[in-house]
Amino acid sequence: MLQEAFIIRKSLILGLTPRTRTLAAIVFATVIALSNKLPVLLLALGTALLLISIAGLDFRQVGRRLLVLSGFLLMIWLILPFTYQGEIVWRISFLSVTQPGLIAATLLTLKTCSMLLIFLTLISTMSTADLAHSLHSLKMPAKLVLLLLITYRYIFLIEDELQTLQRAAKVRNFRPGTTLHCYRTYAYLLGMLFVRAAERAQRVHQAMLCRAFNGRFHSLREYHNRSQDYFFLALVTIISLMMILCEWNIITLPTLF
Amino acid sequence: MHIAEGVLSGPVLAAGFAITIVGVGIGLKKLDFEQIAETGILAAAFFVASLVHVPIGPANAHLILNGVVGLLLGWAAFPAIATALLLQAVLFQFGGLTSLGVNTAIMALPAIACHYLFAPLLWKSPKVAASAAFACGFMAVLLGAILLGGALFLSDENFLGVATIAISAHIPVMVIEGFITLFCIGFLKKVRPEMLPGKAS
Repeated sequence: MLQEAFIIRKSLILGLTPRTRTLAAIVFATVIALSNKLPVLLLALGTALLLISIAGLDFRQVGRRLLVLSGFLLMIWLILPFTYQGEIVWRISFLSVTQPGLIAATLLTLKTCSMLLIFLTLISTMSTADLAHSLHSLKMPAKLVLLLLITYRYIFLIEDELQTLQRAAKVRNFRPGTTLHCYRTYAYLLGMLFVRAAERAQRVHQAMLCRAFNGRFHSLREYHNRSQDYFFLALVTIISLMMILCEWNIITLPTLF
Repeated sequence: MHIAEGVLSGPVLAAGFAITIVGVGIGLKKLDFEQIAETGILAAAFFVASLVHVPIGPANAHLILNGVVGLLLGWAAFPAIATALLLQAVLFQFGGLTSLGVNTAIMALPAIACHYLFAPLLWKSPKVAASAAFACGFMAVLLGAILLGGALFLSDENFLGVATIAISAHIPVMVIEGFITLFCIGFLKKVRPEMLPGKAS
């Protein structure tokens, strides 16, 4: 079953407005994505861990979320050390592990993990409605925000419908396998899902017109920046500047500690 | 079909955002408020459909369905796919903020190409229509995989191995998407022909 991500009820991070959190996530993601040095990425990982502990997230639960990366990281570690050009560290029969390959795989792992952790802490902990409204206040077009809200609103209902259809197939003794019959069944099932979605869309649209929809969704909650928002944004700026300066070799990180 | 955060280089990420912003802009312009509910709910249906895992021999793969999305939504596929990918990032941590542009482009460009290539053929003779539907599903994944491999290779030439494996891993998915699209379009033609392009109720 689908469930809303990771909403936390009580933590310091919640004192910040969704807009502040979204802005911080975008800044960090951009800076980290463009960094390629070990100290910068260690700083990024440190920031991520700090944010998790401030947010009061359960480290075990966060670890479970990191598992989505495991397949990708496994592929990286199985391929990159062997395919990169450079100085050979050791040989296993016809395979050779290169030093740049190992470094690249390490950097990539650090980068991906810290970016995912920061996204998880800052974005996945807010409701999608808050995210949509914060994106709107950051100048995302109104139509796109509306699309995001409507899509999110109906994902759960349509997933219910998919389960109903799958249950109906199961009751009729449908067993998935690598056969044309199986693919046909899935295709018809999905086709039915789209037909029902289109019919639902028509009803929803009519209901929206009945309620004088004028192209705007109003949020029930209003957020205003408070002093901790400015403090947090200042902190984000300082850390990002440190990363950028270090990436450009203007400062070296060990001197900071 | 998505690239994780932190893999691609700055220029590739920027190019992805540029393509996606233009595509989403065109898509939103063609979409008036009347159609937003329909597009949103269909986007939700595609999101849910991509959760379905179909068996391939001993393994299984999840569906992508960008061919069907392109046929049904046209240019609105761009905003719909961008929305779905943002929600995937929020709910499952697949992809993320910086790779959103590239990932949207990887799926939406083939969707639109397939719309223009195959939508006019859907109402020709049954044989032509069936091959067009199969080709639509097949090509949408093929082009997506090529864009994905290209994005990896342009980021770092040493990713050639990763890119090759990523593209070849999609070959069985192409065939399956072809069949699923073929049957799905056939189904929609019988049940709801007005949902398909070129058949105004």
